[in-house]
Amino acid sequence: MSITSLGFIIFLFTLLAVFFVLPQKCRWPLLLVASLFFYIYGGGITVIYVVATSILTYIATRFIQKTSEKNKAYLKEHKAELDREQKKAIKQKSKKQKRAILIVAIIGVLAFLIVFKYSHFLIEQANRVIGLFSTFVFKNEFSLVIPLGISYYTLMAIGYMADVYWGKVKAEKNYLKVLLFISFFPQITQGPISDYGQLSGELFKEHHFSYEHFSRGFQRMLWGFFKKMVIADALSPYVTQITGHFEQYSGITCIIGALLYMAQLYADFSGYMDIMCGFCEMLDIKLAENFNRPYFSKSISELWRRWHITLGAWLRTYVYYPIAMAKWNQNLSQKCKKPLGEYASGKIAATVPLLFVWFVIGIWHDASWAYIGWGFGNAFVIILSEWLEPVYTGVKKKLHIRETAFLYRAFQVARTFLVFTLLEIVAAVFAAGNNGFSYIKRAVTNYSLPHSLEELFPSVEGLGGQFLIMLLLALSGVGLMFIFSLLQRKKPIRDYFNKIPMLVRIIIMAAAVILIIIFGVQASWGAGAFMYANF
Amino acid sequence: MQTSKKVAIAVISFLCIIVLVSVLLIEPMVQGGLYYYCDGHYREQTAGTYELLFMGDSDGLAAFSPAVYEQKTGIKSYNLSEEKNKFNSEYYMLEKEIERNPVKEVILQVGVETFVPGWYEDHAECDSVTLMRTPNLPERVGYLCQNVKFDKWLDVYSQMMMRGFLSLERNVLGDKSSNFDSSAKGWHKLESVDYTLTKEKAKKTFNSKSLETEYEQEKTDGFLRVVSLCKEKNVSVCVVVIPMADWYIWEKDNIDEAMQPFYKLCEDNNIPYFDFNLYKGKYEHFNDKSSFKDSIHLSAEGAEAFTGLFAKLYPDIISGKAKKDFCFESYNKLKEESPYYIYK
Repeated sequence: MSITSLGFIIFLFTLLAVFFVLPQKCRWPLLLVASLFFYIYGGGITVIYVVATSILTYIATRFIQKTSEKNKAYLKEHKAELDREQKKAIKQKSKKQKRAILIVAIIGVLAFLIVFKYSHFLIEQANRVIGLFSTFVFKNEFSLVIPLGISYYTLMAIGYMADVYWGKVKAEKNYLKVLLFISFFPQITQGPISDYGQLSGELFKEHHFSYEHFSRGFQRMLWGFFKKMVIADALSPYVTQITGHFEQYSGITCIIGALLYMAQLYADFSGYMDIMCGFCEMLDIKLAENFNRPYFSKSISELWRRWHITLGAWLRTYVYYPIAMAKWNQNLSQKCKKPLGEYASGKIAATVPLLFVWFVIGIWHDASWAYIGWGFGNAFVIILSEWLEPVYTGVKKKLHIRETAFLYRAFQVARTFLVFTLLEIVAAVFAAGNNGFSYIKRAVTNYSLPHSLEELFPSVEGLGGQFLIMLLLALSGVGLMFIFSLLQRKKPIRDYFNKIPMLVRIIIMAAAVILIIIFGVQASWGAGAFMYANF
Repeated sequence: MQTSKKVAIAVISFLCIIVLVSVLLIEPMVQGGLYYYCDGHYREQTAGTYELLFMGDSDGLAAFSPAVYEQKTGIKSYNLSEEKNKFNSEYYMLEKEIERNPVKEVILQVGVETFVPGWYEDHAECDSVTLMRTPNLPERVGYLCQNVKFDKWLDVYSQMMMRGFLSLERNVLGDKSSNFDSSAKGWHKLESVDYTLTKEKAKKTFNSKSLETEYEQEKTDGFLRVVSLCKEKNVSVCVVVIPMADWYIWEKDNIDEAMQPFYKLCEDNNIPYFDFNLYKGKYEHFNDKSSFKDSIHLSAEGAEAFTGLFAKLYPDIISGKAKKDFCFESYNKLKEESPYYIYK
């Protein structure tokens, strides 16, 4: 079911109406039914993999919880009899048991992801290696239907199991609640990647209908539809044409293509978030935020704390810290202290887990060398800036640069945006089958001037009539996104909006709906699905 | 104010504004001079005066000039064709029109891409045009409910709103070029564009592209349903393929393969048909310099020549003589007679 279809909108508002008509205890089961309906409609038979993942997660967490409780109960019962060493040994044994369950469950859950998403890639690489020594090849012509949202719900399942293992949350006794957590439809196709503690608190609490939630949620949904359909989808044909045929266009057009791509990427992804977060707000459910004005970041590492926030948080909690705190990493750092010094050994302790994290981010986005390279590209920039921090501090001191000065902050934002754009456009062009580095080369070395607006904004449909209007509207929308981002530094844009009289607000929103219907629906025909749903 | 009351007021006001703007945007097309709505009203007013109907998609819309046909034969006709037409809307329009205005003959137009998958079909453009040409609200609602899938309703609404918006723009700018011209009787006049190939381009493009050849069952069934409707209403039917630009034929390496299933479909169902591209006199009547607006749409000059030729050949088409005596065996044979052949 397409998120931008009439059927989905009717589904949402029907769910909203029924949700608040039902008694409280029936509401989360209704969400489960709606989520499974959504999944089956969009993913068909692949719903069995979501269910299988949830069953595995449930069983593992229940076993881990039971092992923990059993251990605690035993220690409590025999507190007087056992000495310190014996208690330690019992705790260690329990920890080993829990870890074994956790590892087996994670492998089981990851196995689905690896088979469906990475099998072709892995076989291709294996064939490449084997091909160096022999003529044998593994067959790689089978086709698998990738279960909807597998990249997202797998991470959520792993996160939940780890949280239970660490004792952060108690294992849920009701299997259906675990199934709802994993399959909750607003987040299954593009996130946010919620943690159980936060999301369960929202899903299973008492929900109250309020005008404020209803109107604010609707406003946010509308803005999301506007971003997705009027901005992202309208820009899509231009981005596709320029990045797919960049050899034909001037450097300026390539630069415009890169900027349009960045606008499209943000509008598409954050638009989806706004639609789903807005809808959940109407239900009195707060989903985790995934964006916080990322294009105003002053460094790449800051950008990744503001872009796809929940993915970054998940990787920090479940990959970075466990690796950083692992004994082998600590030992490595210790070993490097003598030959490289304290500064370098400290940096190494942080660098090693970062490399792991960015490898995972890259391959999570796509099973391709383009995105693995993209991941390491981001890692390189972040690691370099971490290592050279004392150098930057020294240069700033020598040049008397105040970090709070507006010009310096503007420089940092522009630099970050440029680097992020380079990394994204190179990966995107490579992923589309062309040479991303050639794209950059063309953008910076070709100085020919376009002779018409059509050369500046080329697309298959041409630039006339309604397509010109759609492009102008999209570019105005980009401007509006920029202004809203500036205003949101102080408070959410809806706080400004809700100060306007109600009738005027309704007229503005009705106008937005009409714009979306007239231009957004038609723009979305050619653009296709949400970009991050492909991950 | 009570929450539910506040929400109800907000929702009702919101919906009222949307309905009001929708009516304002769509309604000017009815009251304004724009083609689609005026066409429906005009046909209502002139019902009972036609003996022949032309039906097809945008190719047919540009190709058949009822005024020229009447001049050549004395037979009053109407061009019922529609851009991006599908067979279910052809069926609907013909059924309604024949009810309103019983005719003796229907000329159906098909093209090389009529029966193969078309990108535009996903977005209900044809349905929105059919709705706009349906002269009253109850019929429009009936068409929408019976012929348009629910998940396409938003597409149809968007189309109609977009056309209303563009119509408003035209009204503001005083552009009357899209206004209805009753004397054209449904025919759309298109300008000529010179597409003559240079020697280099002719050499480069010869047999460089292929057409889709896999026919969709739904479309062949739709076509036969339209033909059956005509037969049920005792209306004789003839199917034509209108001339295409020579450069378009020149670059396609498999037109014969693409057209064979159509020829077989007509032969198996005893439907008289004629492919004007295989007509031996094609190059005397049509050229890439002035006969076409683009690859498959005749210009006004080309359409007048075509309609005159069609009027002349029609009796021979019905008898089968035209196919036997006046045609090349294949498109490959046609290419040998092409003015571009010397460049090959």
